[in-house]
Amino acid sequence: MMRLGHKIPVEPLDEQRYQRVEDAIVAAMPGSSPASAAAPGRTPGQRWFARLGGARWLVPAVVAAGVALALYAGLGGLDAGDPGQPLPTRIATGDGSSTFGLGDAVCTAAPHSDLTLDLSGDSAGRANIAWQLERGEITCEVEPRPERAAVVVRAGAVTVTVVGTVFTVGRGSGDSREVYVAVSRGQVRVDTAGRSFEVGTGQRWTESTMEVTSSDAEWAAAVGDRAAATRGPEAGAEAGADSDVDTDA
Amino acid sequence: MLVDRCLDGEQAAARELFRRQRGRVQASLYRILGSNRDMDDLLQETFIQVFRSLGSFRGESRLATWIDRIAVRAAYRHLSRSRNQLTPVPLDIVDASASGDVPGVGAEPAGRRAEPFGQTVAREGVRRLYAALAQLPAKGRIAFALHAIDGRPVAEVARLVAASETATKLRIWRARRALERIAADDPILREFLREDAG
Repeated sequence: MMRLGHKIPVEPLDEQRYQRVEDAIVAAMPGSSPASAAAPGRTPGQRWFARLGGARWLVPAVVAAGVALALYAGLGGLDAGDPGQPLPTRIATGDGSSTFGLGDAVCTAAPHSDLTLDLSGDSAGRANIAWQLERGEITCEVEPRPERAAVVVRAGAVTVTVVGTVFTVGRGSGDSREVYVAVSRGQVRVDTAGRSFEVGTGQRWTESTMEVTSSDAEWAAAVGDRAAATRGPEAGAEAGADSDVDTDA
Repeated sequence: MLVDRCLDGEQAAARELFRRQRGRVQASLYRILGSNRDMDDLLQETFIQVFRSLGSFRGESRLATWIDRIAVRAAYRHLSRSRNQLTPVPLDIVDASASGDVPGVGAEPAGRRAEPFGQTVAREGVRRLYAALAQLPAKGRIAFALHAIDGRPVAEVARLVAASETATKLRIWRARRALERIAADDPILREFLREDAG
């Protein structure tokens, strides 16, 4: 029989949320005033606030709105507006990860990742949906988009252009800051140092070898180990607060 | 007895009972729903019902089991209500640094080192699992989640969902079949559901 519990860690509720629930329950207990029982502890506005996760989510949500708006323009094929006015949006994850829906793309930034969305226009005047990965790892699932501006992830001197795929780009934060690309489905193009590589389903590319080879579980584990080693213990402190973003552009 | 003090309307006792039970109930609800998005309301609904019905608790089962039954009913109502709504993507499901009220909850399994690539794949697997579960009928989803994710024996699941063991087994089996059908076209979900993966 399928046993999945060990693969699904439970995200605990923070104490503030527990406390709000506790206060509401006590207020609604038999013997409390009718008013508090009818409206257990929270006004409709407060309930909506709680549904959104409280203040912990508010700042990332505002950031997400910016990201969503920006990507709506890009993913929806709208004009980018003035290419001379880029709209940078930064996502820095702490110990947790961050998954966000952006139009027809779903991206997950791994813990201790730092990336910036840059919508500077391309030469054709359309938006470039470009993620600048400073550190960590981003995995994106992007629907095929032949007639629209490509999704791009830049990491150092490496540029990964996405056509329609599920892929991961990672970058360590140590001295080497090596970049790696793994493709689960579809195809991406990797451009660096004047060379171009096509990386397809089940293939991997690493900056140190400049080679495209077949993926395997051992390599995936090795990449994880190397990235963790190069990140260093101080990286988490640099990464800033968790950014939890959930948008549907 | 804590229950008697609660029945006497002692608020401190109610708070104590809530604090003792909240972590376990939240963990079970989380495993059914896959996120904390509506957790405040679900916990509130569950425990308000607990305190309103406490007078009918006859001690024939453990208090925890009795509360779990109420929580499962709340989850069922929630899933039935939101059946036609947009399925939320669970956020921050893997948070290795977090710690909860329940031992093992919120932490990586012992002996496993956090690996960005592996975590990312696992997280995507979880996301797809709950997206697939959202396509199932609420009863099947709950029975499957309580058994396969929350790790409860079929007999206990049957008591929680107030169904026979045969009916519960059938719901779990149907849910598993449906998941396997969905996973047939989804390599990431298929890998995640593999017995030895994880």
